[in-house]
Amino acid sequence: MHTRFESLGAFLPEGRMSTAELVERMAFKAPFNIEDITGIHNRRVHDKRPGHFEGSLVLGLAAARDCLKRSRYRAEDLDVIVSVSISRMKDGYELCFEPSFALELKRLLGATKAITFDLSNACAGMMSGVMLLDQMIKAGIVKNGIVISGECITTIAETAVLEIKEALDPQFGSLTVGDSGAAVVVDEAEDDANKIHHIEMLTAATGAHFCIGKPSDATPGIALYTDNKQMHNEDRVRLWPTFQMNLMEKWGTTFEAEKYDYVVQHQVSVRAIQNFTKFAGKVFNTTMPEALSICEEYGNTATTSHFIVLYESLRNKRVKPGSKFLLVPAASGLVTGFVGVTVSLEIEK
Amino acid sequence: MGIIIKSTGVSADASNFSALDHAVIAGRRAFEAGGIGSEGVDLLINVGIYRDENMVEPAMAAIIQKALGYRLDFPNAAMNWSFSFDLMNGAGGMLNAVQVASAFLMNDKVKTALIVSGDAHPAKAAVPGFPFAAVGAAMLLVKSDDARGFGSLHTAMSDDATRGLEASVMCGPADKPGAAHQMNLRIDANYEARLLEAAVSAVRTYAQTHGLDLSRTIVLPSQPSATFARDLARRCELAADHVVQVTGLDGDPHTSALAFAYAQLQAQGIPSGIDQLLFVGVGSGVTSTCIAYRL
Repeated sequence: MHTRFESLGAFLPEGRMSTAELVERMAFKAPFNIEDITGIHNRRVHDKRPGHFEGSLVLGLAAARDCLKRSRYRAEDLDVIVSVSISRMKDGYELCFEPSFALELKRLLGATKAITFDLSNACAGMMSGVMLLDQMIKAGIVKNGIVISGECITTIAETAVLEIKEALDPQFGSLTVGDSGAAVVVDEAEDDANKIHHIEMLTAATGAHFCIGKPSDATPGIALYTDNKQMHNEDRVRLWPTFQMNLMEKWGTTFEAEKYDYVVQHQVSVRAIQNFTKFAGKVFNTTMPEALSICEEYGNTATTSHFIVLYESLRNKRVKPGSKFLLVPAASGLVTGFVGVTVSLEIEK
Repeated sequence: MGIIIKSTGVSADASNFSALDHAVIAGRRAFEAGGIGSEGVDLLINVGIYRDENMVEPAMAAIIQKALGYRLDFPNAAMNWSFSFDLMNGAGGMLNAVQVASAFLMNDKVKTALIVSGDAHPAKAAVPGFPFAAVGAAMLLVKSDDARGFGSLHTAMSDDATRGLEASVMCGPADKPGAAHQMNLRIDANYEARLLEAAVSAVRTYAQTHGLDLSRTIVLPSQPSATFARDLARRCELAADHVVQVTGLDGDPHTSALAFAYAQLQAQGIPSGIDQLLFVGVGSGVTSTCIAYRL
């Protein structure tokens, strides 16, 4: 049995902020050009106005509604709701722990029979949620489910703007993020047009402390502290292709035989996407498929990044229908893996 | 063929206020009791809610895996790997994790799964008014080749306007710094009464739906107070010793409660004539999560 992405949804807030605007507000003047280094020009930012506040719950809900709009399932048909936001922000920057976001989404969507829980696995959250649903459907426990994420994550950029004091500051990575919501319905595949071919994930916990997110002690917001040197050294970059190579050898297949049309990396920066893909090409000893990227305009949207890439690429007719994508998570933990998925969904412009 | 608890571990040193420490100690004890050595497990799910310094990233499960010291990198000599993440659903999270881990085990995607929990005040200190005990627990799950093991999961949610308990911290630009060391709890005055109603309903519904003979069943419920099990037994007309009350803890063991109840029952010995257990998680929402376990 195979599962599939039955429907995709997204929500991108109207508010925009350029990298130049963000950097302009920093007291510390970096001796390098962040926009040049990352290739990120803009990102979307949540509405901050009282009464219009776009917290993680609002962003996730909008994406879920968009997703269900083009799904065969109504909210009341859903068996499972998994919420995977890292930011878990409600109105006025309230960071929530109980009850689960998934329960709130269940109420707001009217998903009367759904089992609900939150999942936290840093930026690999959506892919982890998909893997859980894939396993639960294959085990016959449920028939379908939705993974939802709303990321009101530019709060970490705001903290970084206030707190960065030196060129090697661990908060530099926080300047790359953008806000968004994404959702995906997963159910059993009916044909080859929409199918998850494989989904594998691992946690290389040796790097569990390389990237830590928590409320800052110096200013009121959430901060993300990343050891970029450790996160992006060669051993780390080698992790995914080595893992995939190993499994494909066991399965008796090769990277080339899978005929991926596109690879979708975590949207850290334009340069990182190119580097990860180039390095993998050496390990797989093959010409890599085209690496899709949307981070130039949307930044790193955390858990939603691969799904915003898919959504935008389908919506803009950037990819041909029936394309086979290789999604590669890269997250704090450290989490990596690979998802091979054919997607023929239509998303209206 | 079923999914069974191979071993458990609990951690309750009252002088330790680190959720992470408790989870790691409990995990280590479950490994020792379950004969798991340095090879570790294939899947780790952390279900704790109240974490050290309110960390939101990475998954606490990754930090727990690192502290337990197995399959830290890939490739390695054994060419094995593990997958770790957090699943959060308050007091019922442990049972959601059982359902998720069962799927992975039934599909032979993994051979071993550790569900671990740990809660403590994020300030890593005793804070007056915080109702949850600083404790941790762990359950090692494997597949059995007989009829023993977990049944199907039932969940329910109340239609009430309020959630009974809400936990959050404020992190906006107008707030004061220090959210890493705070937890704001809003608890309704009738919260425990609502939890009791939810537990009573869960026990009755599950027994009715699955033809469970409650006279041959021991109920392991959440532990919001020192009298909760007694009240649940009375309301469900069960013998007092057929509902486990966890003893010896300073506060509600929250996400660890069901594993504590199971470990305590195992230590005391399961009375003859009992062939099923019924785990009942009740918590904020108000929600109930319920699953039977055939002995």
